[in-house]
Amino acid sequence: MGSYITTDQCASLNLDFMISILFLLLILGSIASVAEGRMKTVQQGEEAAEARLLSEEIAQAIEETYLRGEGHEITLKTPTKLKGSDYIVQVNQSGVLVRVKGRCGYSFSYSKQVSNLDGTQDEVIMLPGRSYTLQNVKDNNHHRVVIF
Amino acid sequence: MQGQLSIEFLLVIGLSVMVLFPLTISLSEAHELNQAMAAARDGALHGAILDGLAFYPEETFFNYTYEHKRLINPSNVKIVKVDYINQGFNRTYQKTKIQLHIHASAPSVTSKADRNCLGDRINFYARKKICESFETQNLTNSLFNPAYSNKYVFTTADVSWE
Repeated sequence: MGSYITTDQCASLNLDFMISILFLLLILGSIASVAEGRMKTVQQGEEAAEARLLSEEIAQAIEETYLRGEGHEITLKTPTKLKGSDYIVQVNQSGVLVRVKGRCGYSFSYSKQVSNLDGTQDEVIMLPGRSYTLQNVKDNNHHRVVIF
Repeated sequence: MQGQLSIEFLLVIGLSVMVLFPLTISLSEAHELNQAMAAARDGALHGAILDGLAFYPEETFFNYTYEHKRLINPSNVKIVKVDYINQGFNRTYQKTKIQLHIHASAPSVTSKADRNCLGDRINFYARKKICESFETQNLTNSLFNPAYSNKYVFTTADVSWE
């Protein structure tokens, strides 16, 4: 079939060929456009999923530190970026809030005292690319989770 | 005897043009609607992912902490079907009006008010993706309602929960 196309002098097959190519290009163009849109959606979804995973991981580490009793310690390393975006994590007694590019994701945590090392702040900010230690500290018969 | 083949050839070419011309127009319209529906599905999926992961813009998030506490926790949101109703040529917009109808499922969210919030987000992203697909963001408002393509104008009905 290919040799007919290349040797045909009347151009009749070439016309068929051109129409086929036209339709093929139309179909390929549609598929490429749909695929590009889907890829973009997946990337944005991945960023949200990573933020959700991070907040759940931190909330779980806080629960575990609190439940295991005095002196229990967990070390967490925060990722440098979430799918290439900067982020910030705020932790307080009600849960963990992750903020990325003007969006928020929150993980609930049962009410407990959370503070920084010297106990002066009830809300702890966790920054990207750092290592944090979560420790169960007991003072005045009350347990609290210290993040430093 | 001379010229017979030429007349046949001209007839075939003439008929081909007569068939191909309307076919091309109808194919291009079908292609545009197809592209818009693909964009709407894509947007609805994106909205459902954000609903499911409970990952919202800050202002919305803080509103939900007071009014829709269930929505700040993750839930299982799925898009079941995206279809449309052709409402014919609209004189106001001078385009054919299409109403999108998205069917979704969220068994873990039972409150009607909460489901409305989830549905609004799904519809918003469906319209937004259509506008982005045809680069018509500057023709519409901040809610992308209605969304425009070259020959169509798109609105959304409330999401049907199944």
